[in-house]
Amino acid sequence: MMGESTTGHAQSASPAGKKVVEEAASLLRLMRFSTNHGAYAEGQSVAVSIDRRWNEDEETIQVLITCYAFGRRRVDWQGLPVFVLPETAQRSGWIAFLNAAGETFLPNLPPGDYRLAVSQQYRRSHDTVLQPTQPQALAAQPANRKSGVPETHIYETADGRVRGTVRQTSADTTVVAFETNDEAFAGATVRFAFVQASGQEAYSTEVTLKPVESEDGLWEGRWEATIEISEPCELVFAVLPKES
Amino acid sequence: MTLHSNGKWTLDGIEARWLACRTQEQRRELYEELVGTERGWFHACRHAVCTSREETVQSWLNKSLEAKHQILHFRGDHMPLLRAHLLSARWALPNHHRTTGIIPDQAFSCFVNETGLVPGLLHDLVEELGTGHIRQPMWSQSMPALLIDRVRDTGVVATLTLELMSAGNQTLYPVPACLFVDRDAAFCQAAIAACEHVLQTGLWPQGWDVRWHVQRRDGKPLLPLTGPSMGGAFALGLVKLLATA
Repeated sequence: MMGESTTGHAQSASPAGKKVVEEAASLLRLMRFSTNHGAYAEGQSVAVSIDRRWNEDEETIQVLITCYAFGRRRVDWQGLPVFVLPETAQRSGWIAFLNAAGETFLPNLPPGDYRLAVSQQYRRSHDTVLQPTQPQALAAQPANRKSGVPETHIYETADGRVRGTVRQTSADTTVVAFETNDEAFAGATVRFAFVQASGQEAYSTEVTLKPVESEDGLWEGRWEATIEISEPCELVFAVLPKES
Repeated sequence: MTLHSNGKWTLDGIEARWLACRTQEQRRELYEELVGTERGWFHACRHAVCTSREETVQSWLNKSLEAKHQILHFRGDHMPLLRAHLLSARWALPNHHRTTGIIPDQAFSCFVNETGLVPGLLHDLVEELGTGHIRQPMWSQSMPALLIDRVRDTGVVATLTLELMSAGNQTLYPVPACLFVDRDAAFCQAAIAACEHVLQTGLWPQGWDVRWHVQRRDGKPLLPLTGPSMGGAFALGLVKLLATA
């Protein structure tokens, strides 16, 4: 069974509201924070703050990201994913989703330096697309039995301009592919992550939408690998603007 | 003729499924089922033979419309092999040459030229499309071989089987089931070098071919065959096969 679209987010808001989200996303992409430094940025229609403080365990920090729209505009922040990326590439990142008030809270972030990736072109599967690997069960499977993802899942951004496909191959690799027929996204980067219920990324990476030789007017970015995870994961992806 | 075929796969069904795909990756998944272990393309062609769908086969061989064209050209290097299945299916149809039990030499030569495949492989493909079985070998020899899983960077133990086939021309070719398995230049060159070495020994008699196939011992789908490491297994296997036979 294919995954069905379940997003409802900024695309349903007014054009003015969309511009506010767009500006907030631009500001967030430029912002950095660390164990000892929060961040604040202001645009024409929105201000963004990142507050952080040590937890009582003195081993982790909590972070509050808030987007304030100026005036009395109706802005649909709900569900916008914020990729929280450690500057140290070896560590896995986190994903936080803004609530309707434009806030998100990360309660247990390891100390370190972080940057953010945000885009209005995104999709969250909500479904589990990747199951934990069970080596013994896997070894006992018949040769052609597909593990992990039972069937192919397809997810589109809310405007349908970018489609993502997740599937498990007969060789027990996982494939994640994104495609678009919209030339505006040619060469764009798609960041995707397999995300645990806690918001921690089990795995994340980026692909670039490149022309498909056999089909005019189609751009595709594809990733294939073996992946072992310990908890069920959903898929979150965002098409990042070219300048980032 | 045995009329059994895998009814899951039909040429019309493949086209319909292709048209229903929403993404390129779904088309890729379908295509992998056609050319992978499941052999969807073979079974669809066999279904056409078993149900005498000559017009359907011909429609795929004609200048095809969009979906047929996309499938046949999805991977450029596979296109001749997909067409070879269609041409072989046409040969295997009940009202074609094979029902008489005689394939006219001249017509078969044209058929060989049209497909670009070696005659022994084509005989097997036509036979398998018609009856569900490939020709019986005169003798066979199995060897262990180590494949490399480049995704996981590990070795995979496989069995290389070499079979001595009559009515041949000192040619080495795969069974139809291995036709779509990816083989890189180093692998092909190693197989050629093994053949040349064995031909020089004089062990390989005129009028005989050797057919090969590789199977993973864990039963999983075969990996792309890359690198020269199988050359030794081919050389040793050929010598053992030909010396024993």
